[in-house]
Amino acid sequence: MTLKFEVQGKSIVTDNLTEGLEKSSVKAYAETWKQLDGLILRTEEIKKVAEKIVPEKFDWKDDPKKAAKAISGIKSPKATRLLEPRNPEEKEIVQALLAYKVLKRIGMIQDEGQS
Amino acid sequence: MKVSLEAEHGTWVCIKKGEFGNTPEERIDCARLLASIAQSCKRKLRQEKGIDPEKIAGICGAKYNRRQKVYLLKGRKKSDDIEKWLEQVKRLPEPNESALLLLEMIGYPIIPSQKAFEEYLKKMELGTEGYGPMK
Repeated sequence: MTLKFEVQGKSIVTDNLTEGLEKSSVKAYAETWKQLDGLILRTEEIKKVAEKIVPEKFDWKDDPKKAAKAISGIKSPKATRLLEPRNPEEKEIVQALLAYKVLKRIGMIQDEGQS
Repeated sequence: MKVSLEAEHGTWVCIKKGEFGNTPEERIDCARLLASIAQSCKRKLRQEKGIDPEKIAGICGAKYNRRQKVYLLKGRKKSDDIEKWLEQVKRLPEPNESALLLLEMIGYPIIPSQKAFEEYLKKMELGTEGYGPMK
């Protein structure tokens, strides 16, 4: 066994390091956000903001100009207003989730179960 | 909730474990461990895939920060500059991973820093207004 990652009673066990790291990081990111939902984050609202920034999914490699605009939108005053962070730490956490959602919509991050 | 990562490859060993309840403090602590696991996996994955941080830093002009041990580019980034950098990383052998690393360097990480979690927890435990469960 090279890698074993366990969360919520489910495990990823593999001898293939690259595959294990890939799957574990995807799962760990997703679970991080689940823990914070409703506590520091309103995941559904952040998802809506991500959909405003990237109305239709596309591959960033096909249109880097559009992708750059979407990325700039993550920290735009408009997005920050919509997200209403209550303090600087919450702002950083909320912006990271927004980045995660936006980058998923432009194909830079794979979805859980896609690996 | 139980969380654990045990990984070993050559001289590289990574063990991270924790067990958490459902209080707001424990949930944030659990998220902090999961974020740390995600970051460790990403770091090793990039190393295994041969992604060279120095090369990516060279594309966007990020400088190595000795204290934080990462490459960073401070200041506001224009959309045109981001486009120019994306054009370059998309031609690299691992475009998605390289682009994610580029975005970390220019201030768009997909996971909050450990410091943000620690500060949040500290202020929440002190009862600072605006920290803790949303109403």
